[in-house]
Amino acid sequence: MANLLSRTSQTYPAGSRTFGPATVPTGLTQLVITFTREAWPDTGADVLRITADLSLDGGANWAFHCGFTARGGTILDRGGSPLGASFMRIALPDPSNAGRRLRLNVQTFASLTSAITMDVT
Amino acid sequence: MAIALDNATGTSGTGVSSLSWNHTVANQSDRLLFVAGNWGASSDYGPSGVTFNGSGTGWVQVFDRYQANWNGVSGWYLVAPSVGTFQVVVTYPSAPLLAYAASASFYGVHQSTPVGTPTTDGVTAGTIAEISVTSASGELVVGTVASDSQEGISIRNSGATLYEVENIGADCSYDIGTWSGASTVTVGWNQTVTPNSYAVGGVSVKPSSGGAEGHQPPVSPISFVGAGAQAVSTTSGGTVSAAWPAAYTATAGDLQVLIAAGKHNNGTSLAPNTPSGTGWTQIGTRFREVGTYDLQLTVWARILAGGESASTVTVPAAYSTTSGGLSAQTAIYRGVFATPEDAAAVLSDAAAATTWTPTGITTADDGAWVLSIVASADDNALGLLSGSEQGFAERMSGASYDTTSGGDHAVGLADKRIDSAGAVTCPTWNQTLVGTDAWAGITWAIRANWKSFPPIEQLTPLRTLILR
Repeated sequence: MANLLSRTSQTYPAGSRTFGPATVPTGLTQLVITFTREAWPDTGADVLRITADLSLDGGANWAFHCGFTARGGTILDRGGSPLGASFMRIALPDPSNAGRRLRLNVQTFASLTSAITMDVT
Repeated sequence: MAIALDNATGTSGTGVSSLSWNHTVANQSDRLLFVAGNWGASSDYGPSGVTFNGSGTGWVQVFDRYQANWNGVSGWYLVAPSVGTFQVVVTYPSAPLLAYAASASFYGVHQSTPVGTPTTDGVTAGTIAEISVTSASGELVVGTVASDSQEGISIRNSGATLYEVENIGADCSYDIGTWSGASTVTVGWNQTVTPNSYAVGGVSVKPSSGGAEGHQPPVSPISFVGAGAQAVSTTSGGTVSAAWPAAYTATAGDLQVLIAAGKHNNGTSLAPNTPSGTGWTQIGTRFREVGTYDLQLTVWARILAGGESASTVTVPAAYSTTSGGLSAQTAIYRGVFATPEDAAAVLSDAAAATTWTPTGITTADDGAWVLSIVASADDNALGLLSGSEQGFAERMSGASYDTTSGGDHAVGLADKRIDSAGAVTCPTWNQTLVGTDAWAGITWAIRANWKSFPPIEQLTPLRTLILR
């Protein structure tokens, strides 16, 4: 496993920002992107949109790889506890390619607090 | 024609309201894209929609089943999905605790009656998650499960797993699989931890009969066949041969789009002469002042009669000096009307900049395709800017379509299916190498040959479509 991004909890006002690019070590095949949910506001609409772009040539060319959107408010797990994080997991292609790079595009539609991690396994 | 699996992939998450990922559809006949959108939540948060290549048009939800507390499955399909790599987006009406989505494309599928009667079931406790699906020999059953078994599941009854995720959120497991057709097919999974609740759905996919099947409007009959390699010359009076796409033979009725780009010192606009062969129409030519050597982009098109050789373009003298040069490249489209123009080409250009959005176009008829063709004044390895693709797919891009022979330049082609006529915004192009340089662009719309659909009496009756 390798950690490509680890941002401690901070508040992001509405807006867009990009993290990375980060080099993906060879041999790793799964990407997990996690945003902790720290009292995200319930606006009745999405408060977060993320997309991850993947380059297979050292960052010369980029293509969309995956993404998700998330709403605010409280989501309860089966035990009745608030869900602590929104995350997605997806496969990464071409594990022997040393030129793989990832960058994370984050768009917040309301001010929200989160810690962000991007791990590959 | 037997049904064959083309490609399968997917993703999963927690606390999300949509999931998106790339799916690649190969250029095969009689295609179908199936998507499973499953979830785990205390309420029925079945997906509200699915899109592919930015369009929700043509999707049919074939089943949806929620088993209260906690699992839900849904199945969706799209006939004749666009060929290429595009985003699949599954959107949920709210944010379920757990989300799983997977896509599987098939070919050799009947295009007017692609699936049979679906079956679903939901059980609050069990050791085996299983349903019986009505099918037939030669068909292929697609099934999906949402299981409470956080320790995993295993497919039963000789099924083949396509995309399985176990223990999402330390809670549930999901899968999509296929089974060979028979009169009745048992679709099922063993649940590792029992007893557990589950939801299961499945449907049988029907094979095409081998010929060109009926098609389901409003999906456009146009498809992209391929792009040939770039050829370059700097020799005055020499010829540049615009190669056919790999393994392609000129086929009657196909549309050939020939793109010539280069730099010259004529000082004003100078298009090369019409390419060799018959039937050409110049779609447009655009000049962009750069300096001593200026940029020129020219596009021709013709409907092929079948059996033609690759066309050549003769290099004018002004293109042949030290910093000049001319490239030619061909793209082929199928299912285009004999008079292929849907809307006249829109020409635009721009000063040196790393990114550029050419002027858009307004299409006239439903089912048209828009082609965004660009050139830049250096070997810029053009590509679409991530996040600003506008649903377009790259057909010519990157270092394979730029050159450092003579006057450096680069070429890009992207296209998009437009289901409903109207204004279309072009994608934003990006110079991924050696930017910043000047641009020229030609945006053109091609018209669908709806007559390539079968006679109306062979189309699916309207009542059947409504009942679906």
